[in-house]
Amino acid sequence: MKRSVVIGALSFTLVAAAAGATVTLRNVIRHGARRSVSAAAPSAAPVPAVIRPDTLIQTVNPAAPATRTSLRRATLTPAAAPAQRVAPAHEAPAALTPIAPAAPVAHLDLEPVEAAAAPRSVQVVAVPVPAALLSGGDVQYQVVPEGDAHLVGALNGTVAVTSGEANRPVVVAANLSKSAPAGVQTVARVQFSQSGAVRGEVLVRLNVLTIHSALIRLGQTVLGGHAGDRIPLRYFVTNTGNATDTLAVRLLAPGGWRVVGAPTTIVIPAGATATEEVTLWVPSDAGIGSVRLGVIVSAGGRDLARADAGLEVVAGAALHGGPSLQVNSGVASVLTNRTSAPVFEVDATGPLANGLTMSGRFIQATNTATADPIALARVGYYLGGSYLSVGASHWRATAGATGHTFSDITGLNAYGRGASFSFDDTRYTADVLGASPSVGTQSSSGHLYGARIGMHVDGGWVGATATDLQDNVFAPRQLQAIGVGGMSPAFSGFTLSGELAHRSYATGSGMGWSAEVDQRSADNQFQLRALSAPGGAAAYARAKSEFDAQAAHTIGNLQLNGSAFLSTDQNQGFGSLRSVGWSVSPRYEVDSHLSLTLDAHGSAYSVNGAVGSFGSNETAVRAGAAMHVGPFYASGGLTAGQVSRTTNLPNAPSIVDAGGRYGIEGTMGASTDRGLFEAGVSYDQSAARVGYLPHEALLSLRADNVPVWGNSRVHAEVQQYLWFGALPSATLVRLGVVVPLPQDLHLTVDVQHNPLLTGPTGGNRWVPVVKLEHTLSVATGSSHALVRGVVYEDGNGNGVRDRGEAGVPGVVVRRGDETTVTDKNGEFTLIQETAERLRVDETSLPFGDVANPASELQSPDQRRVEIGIWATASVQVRLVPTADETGRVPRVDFRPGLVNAVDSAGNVWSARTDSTGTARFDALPPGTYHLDFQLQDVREPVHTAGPAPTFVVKPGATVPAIRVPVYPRPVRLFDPTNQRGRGGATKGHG
Amino acid sequence: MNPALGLCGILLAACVTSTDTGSSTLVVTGTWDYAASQSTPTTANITGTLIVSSQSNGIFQGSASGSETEGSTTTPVSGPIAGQTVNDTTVDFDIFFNSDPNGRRHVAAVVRDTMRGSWVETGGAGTFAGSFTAVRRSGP
Repeated sequence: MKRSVVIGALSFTLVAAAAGATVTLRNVIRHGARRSVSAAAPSAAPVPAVIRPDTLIQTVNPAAPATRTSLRRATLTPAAAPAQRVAPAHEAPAALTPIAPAAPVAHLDLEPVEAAAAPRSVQVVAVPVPAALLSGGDVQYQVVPEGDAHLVGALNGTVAVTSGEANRPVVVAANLSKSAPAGVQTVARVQFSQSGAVRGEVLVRLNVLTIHSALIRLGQTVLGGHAGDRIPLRYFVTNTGNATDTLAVRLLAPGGWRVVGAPTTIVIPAGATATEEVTLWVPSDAGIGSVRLGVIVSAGGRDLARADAGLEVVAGAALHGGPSLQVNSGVASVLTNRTSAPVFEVDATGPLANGLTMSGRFIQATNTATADPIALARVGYYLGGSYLSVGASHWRATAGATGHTFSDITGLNAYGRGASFSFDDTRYTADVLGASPSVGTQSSSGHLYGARIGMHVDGGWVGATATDLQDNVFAPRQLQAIGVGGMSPAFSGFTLSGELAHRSYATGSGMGWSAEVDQRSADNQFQLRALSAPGGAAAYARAKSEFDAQAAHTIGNLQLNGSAFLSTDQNQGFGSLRSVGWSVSPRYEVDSHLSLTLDAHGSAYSVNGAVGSFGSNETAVRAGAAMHVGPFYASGGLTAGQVSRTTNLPNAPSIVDAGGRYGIEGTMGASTDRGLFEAGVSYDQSAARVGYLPHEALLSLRADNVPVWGNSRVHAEVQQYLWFGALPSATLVRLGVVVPLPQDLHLTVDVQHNPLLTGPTGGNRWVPVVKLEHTLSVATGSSHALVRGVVYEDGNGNGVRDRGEAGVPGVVVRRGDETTVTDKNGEFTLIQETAERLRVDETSLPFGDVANPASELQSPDQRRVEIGIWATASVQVRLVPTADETGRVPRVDFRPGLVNAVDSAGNVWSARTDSTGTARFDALPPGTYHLDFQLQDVREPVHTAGPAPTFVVKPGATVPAIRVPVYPRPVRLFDPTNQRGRGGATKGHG
Repeated sequence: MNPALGLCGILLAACVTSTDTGSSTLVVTGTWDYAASQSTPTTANITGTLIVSSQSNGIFQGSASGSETEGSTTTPVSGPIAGQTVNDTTVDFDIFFNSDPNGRRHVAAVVRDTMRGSWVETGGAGTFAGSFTAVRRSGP
């Protein structure tokens, strides 16, 4: 029964310096206090307290306590007791030994002590001994835990007031877990007693800060689909904070993709998990390839968690249920008087029959002389370069525009018209080229012949190359080379490669060599290259000699990048050229929104040309920042540098121009499903004659992929250049629209105004280009599928598809170079011929599911495949400390321990034990397992006894927790004074 | 240090660090057919037009446009020109294709209406170099 208590009012604020915590003790007049402690004797009624005039602490109005910031402790002076009856209301917890009142005494109603606290910390609170007890002899205290509080340290004791310890507070230390709920919670009661009687108690309250924290997990980390598909993505958001939170979820997808279900907000209690789904539509004109998706959870504008997934857009089964060849045919025309003659193009990409794939392009201008390649490029038409390429998983043959890069010292960038062939399997490689020199619409005399054969050896590669190359398309080049080379298997992350070749070129011959060291790990990348190629770029190399080094190292949020290069070359185009450069570019990720970069770089070159020699030397530093919040992004930077140029002409004094260079630039934009919008500004100022315009300002606006009028898409761009001198400013404008028409036709109209361009389509005129294109999907795979199959839910785990076991859509299936996706019935087809086995990409399965291992055992000749999907089970293993024959129970922290679950095929799954000995296997596939334990690293020697525990995981069934007793391990004590070897050791329990 | 020697040094340095182009009689204004070939590190070419619109005290400015072919790709390029005449037969100018702040430096000898020379551009992607010619189509 609760009684009214009137004692008085007092407040304390002090800094518990010893404990490092700020505490508050307040005595108030309360009515019906929940845990008031009082005695019944009216004669011992408590007296109200008054504040001495010299105190710095205000009198407290219990209804509206004032903020107190004083550091001095108030003292109490008993005053005349009001006529108020106090009833007993002692509520000592049963778990404690009650401090029995020896005699009726006055009970104090003491105000709680409250302190701020953070989860995952030990909060120390100092509770002063009530002043009313300081004159009554030593004070005993008892700290009683409340709720789930975990208190550390002494829970009872005596404050020897009579021995000068009056100022010693009672220290309460509460260990708060990571999930300690936000808000005020009572963690303890401190009962004070004196002379055997409980005199009062103080509630210890902690005001736990709210922590926003979340985890996100995706149902699949790989998704598959076709252009035009609607793809669901399930995700699980767990509120790992300590309070109910409103979490915002958004999806990062390519601009212009339609998304339903994001952005959204979810209200989730602390510790709870919400299962949500977002759906995205792959645009019907999406290309084949991999797309990166991101799901981000945020609260209060701050990102808390992110999960990424890849979406593989595969060749189109969406339209007709089988693989297809995409054929685009179109016509484009530049609508000016001189250049309106149309240009035709046909391109095709996709699978053919019997595992063959093809790609090809044919483009022809009706009047090559008047065709305007600059304007046509705006609608994706590039003159020249028609080709046809057919291939399978291990080979590809190309006719028409083709080319090949053999190696750094046996020939780079040999392009022409002719034929090429490449082969690569697990054992051999081969590349052959035969062509006449040609680039774009230009060709020259000469020839391009070469062959390279190689063999994979134990993870490495060895090969030989022979080339005979000569062309004069842009600059005269000539090389006859024969070389051998190889690459080592990776060891400790390092790969070594090198090549030696004899090179004959127009003006001589010599031995060339190249060497490269690569090292890659999660946090480091390092590459060192060096080569000597006599003849240089005029003999199909990058330079006559070259050295470059690149390194990157990641330390937490800091990424350090550095590079250096040195090269020399010589040919009749410019005489000799020597260039050097270096850069150091640290980048710091402040958080998931903001990154800071610093880029210091320098470069220099010197040329001995036909006119004379000239050179340049530049050093600059750029500091920049980039940020993104939701769909918005921004970046900016400041650059400062120093440039000098030299010119040395025959019979003239050397000329040196030097000066500074400064710049500032910024860009901001938004990438949304309604398009991309961006604005940018930059300004550069440089000294005269050092290779930069004295002043240049650029203002730009851009909108891209903006949907209008149904499925039409618009882009627009404006650039304004200002040079502030004799050079007039220029405004570039470009507008375009792509309009889908009936019958799979697309109309593209692009208009540009570019005063910087000259010629028939430049200057101060608007130049429109129109393209009409038809897209045709030709079914090629439905009647030529080499493998048909289904992925289904094997509910009973028998490995056979039974009635009612549904197909699983959206599963990515791979075989060799071919990738496909199951349709809504779980069906799939594969069309390429390959000796490789089929496999399911398990990251594309619903979370917790795995493929039946038997599905990986199909023979290459199998034409029908049924792959069962099993639900995995979560299994918890609990190591239970158990007494041995002596009765000793080990007290042990199990954290370094490891528990292995071994299936009947010998596959091993491992789980770490936590401090309590609990190990959790999150996803064990169906099977029979036995456990073994690695406990040798546990600090306290323990062991298990008896046969290894076994258990069975059945599809869809729950496995009860497995309890394994562990015992203290007998310890052998070595006696160094006993020299009789092992026999001298004593044996016993440690 | 003798102050007079120091002053002389400064004056001497000032002499050698300035480019006196004002005395050149070379006039380059006009429209030029431009053809540049890149020979290192790979081959490519640009063909187009240079328009030198103004020249004063040897300093000239204008614009360039054309198309660049590399591999199987042809792309449009355009941008301003800034440069100076070094003497009566030599020019030194930069073309800022696609408004790249890094200029492509051209140093060439001019004989009547033809300039021939070398060009170099250096930047983050490395150093590129080659030769070029330009023939004046129309003059001042």
